[in-house]
Amino acid sequence: MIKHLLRRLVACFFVLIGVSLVAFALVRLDGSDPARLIAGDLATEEEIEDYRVRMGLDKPVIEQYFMYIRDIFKGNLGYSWSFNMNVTELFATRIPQTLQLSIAALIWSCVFSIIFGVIAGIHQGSGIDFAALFFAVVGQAMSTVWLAFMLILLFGVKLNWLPIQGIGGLKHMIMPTLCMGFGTAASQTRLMRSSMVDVLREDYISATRARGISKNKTYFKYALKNAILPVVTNIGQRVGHLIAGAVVIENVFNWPGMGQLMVTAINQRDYQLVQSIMLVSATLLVFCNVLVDIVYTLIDPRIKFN
Amino acid sequence: MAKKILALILALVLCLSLVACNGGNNEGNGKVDGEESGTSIEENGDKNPSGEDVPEKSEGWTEADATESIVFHCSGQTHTFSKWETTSDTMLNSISYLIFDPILYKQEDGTVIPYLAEEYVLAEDNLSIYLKIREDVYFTDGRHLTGEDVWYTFETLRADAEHYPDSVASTWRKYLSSVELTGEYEVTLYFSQLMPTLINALCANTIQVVSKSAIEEMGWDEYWAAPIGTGPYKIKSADLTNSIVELELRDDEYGYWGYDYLGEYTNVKYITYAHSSEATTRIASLKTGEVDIIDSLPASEVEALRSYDTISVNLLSPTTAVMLQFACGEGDILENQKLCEAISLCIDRELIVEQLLGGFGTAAKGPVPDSSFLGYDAVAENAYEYNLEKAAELLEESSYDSRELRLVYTTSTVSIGNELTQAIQQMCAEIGIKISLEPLDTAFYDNARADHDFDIVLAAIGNTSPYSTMLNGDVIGADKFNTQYQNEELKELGTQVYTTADYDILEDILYRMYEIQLTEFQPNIYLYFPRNLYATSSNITGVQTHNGAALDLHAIVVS
Repeated sequence: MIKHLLRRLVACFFVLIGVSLVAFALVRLDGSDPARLIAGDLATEEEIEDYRVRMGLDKPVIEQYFMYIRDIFKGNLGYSWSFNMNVTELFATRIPQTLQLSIAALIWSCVFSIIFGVIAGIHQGSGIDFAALFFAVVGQAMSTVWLAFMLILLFGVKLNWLPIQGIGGLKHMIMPTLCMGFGTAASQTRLMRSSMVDVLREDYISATRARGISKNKTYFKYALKNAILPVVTNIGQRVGHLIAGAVVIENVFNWPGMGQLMVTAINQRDYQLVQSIMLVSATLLVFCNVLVDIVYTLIDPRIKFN
Repeated sequence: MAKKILALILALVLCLSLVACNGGNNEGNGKVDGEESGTSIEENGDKNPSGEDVPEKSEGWTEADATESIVFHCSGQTHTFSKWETTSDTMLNSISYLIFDPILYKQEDGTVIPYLAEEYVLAEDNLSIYLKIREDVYFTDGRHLTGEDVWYTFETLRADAEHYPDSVASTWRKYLSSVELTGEYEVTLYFSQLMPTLINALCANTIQVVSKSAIEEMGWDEYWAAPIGTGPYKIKSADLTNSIVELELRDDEYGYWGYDYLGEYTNVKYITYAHSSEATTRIASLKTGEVDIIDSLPASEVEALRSYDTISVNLLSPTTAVMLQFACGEGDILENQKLCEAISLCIDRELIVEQLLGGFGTAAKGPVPDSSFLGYDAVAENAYEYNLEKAAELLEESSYDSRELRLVYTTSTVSIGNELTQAIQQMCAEIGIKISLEPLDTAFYDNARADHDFDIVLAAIGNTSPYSTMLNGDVIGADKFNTQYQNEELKELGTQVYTTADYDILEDILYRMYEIQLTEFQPNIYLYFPRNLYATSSNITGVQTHNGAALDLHAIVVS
């Protein structure tokens, strides 16, 4: 297990080197000039060149990349020209805020979808099953932006129950978290329900029941363990969706996290910042997938971590 | 049973959507200034208070009497307090008015009065200015303001390229040759060449007079993390990574000298600035009372706010000219003046302002919006017209070969860029001019202009000063946006804008510059001058603006 884990981590390292290369190349491929953008409309060519030198853009691209990688190994993710501060310093405040939102969204969506999906699967064809299917379809089809504004209008403006924007206490988290996890909850509910329905049709479930084991024990001890595996896989994939969703949600709810930072960085052509955000997001995604694989082996010992 | 539950859920979702979509509350029924109900729209030119008159200052008022708190959500964000380390944004502009004091002060009617400098003498050749600094001004940490602080401020601006790069400080650096401390409270600035914007620049909040001794004690970075100024407010907390700044009214033994000097006061103890990028979110927060002031209110939202009598919408004076710039160099299709004129004639500017700006703007008759600008007579005599018949005739004479003209634009420069360019495209199509639209990201838009890779550019430029030096000197004289226009006289006149501070001479120069543009329709034709909007809770008065741009909250009163 440990040997496999180490091998996997080494593979992750190379994946991340690849990501850094792609991120570095992508932001430069668009051909725009960040120095011109930072210097402003009325800057002279000399002033723009001055910025280009200060931003290190006058050096050959290969040299820029190796300088970037060298700095990363030193723990320095570069300097943000649009924020006038170190990227590492920026991330130190922004990553926890995005994680706070993402983790809360993941938790509520998982708990809700597993419970709802299991109940719907057990009571196939019932009203609750219809409700679960309805929720799954609507939740996946619904635009996050639309939902966000509807929540703001209803719970913020009309009812005045919840704060509309910014960071603060638990109350500030409710609407963005709800929005962020809505799509995930919907897709997982559908997955959990169909997986549960399939497992309940298996012979070993009938055999278990025939041995006189109670319904609840059969469902929650024997059926759930197998039915939950596709959901666990889906959780790994949904982490990427949550990070992407943060871009929209954080802007609408004015939540100062990585998503909001990404929008500013792209608009300002802040190379260092964009490539570092991509690298950090990829790192999170890669490690979440490793974590999911580990959880897999814990749930079902027949599956080996490889 | 299942169907019933499904129907119930559907009904619930529909109800929630309908409730949420149902506009604002309808509490406001009182008529204000001729409006049917609720929100009024107030003119708010320079230094006019918003809404009702500011309540009278009570006798014996001191800063300790202030108890209120307000929250201001800005569309812009700031990550530094130094005006010379970053390109300007609305949040920092506003904060700067509260932390620092200008050297001189421009009143509502445009007259300049002494401020930090109680006396100023401009040399006859306009190449030096003597400043006598007030002796009764203190920084918020209790340090006494002296001439040395003012000297240090300008000296840093002149020579400290490490902290203020040339590319940012060039507006001063290319003129200011030396700064001399001539007495304990006396400073003289010397210029290598005439600086036409000098007096305006001394009135602006960009001159952040710092405490030399505080910087020496604290170090540059620590000082600018929470700068100490002579203004009415001090920084209580600052989270610059998230653009959240909390200010507190100074409560030291000296108080703020400017309140007595200008006969103003405030009852706001704390002001919190925060960035909020989404206009819908800002507006929703204002409706709930979570926020007291918001800026950059889209014109499309004004109608929806009319039913709220708790909100006051305010207009700022026009500060920007929105224009079309033509690539009119040798070999360019728009080198043809008749084609340029035909384009101008087929654009219905009034309709654009009415339909796309909701009336919150001024249709352009020429390069400047009103008669307060020098050289305006040229506009009055040669104003733009809308005449499709004449446009069609000119088009025929121009031998236009039906080639598609590329109009490039970015919505970050003109927020209604999509709608505006589509309207122009349709208006031009009416007489047979084909225009293809190219929406670009700001960085590509800048590149396209730098590379002369366009036929027409939709542009916007700040045009706040009667001198119009930026528009006429940089944009036209130096052809900053690379239109490659060929009128040598216009070029020459554009460069002359920077060589005189004599109003009579300037008036003649600008008259001729406007006349050339209005008769040749090159390099620019002007479309409109938008009016920016901001909104406040209706119990707030005393918001001031300078040059129609940043909101100055130093004399804000909550009733």
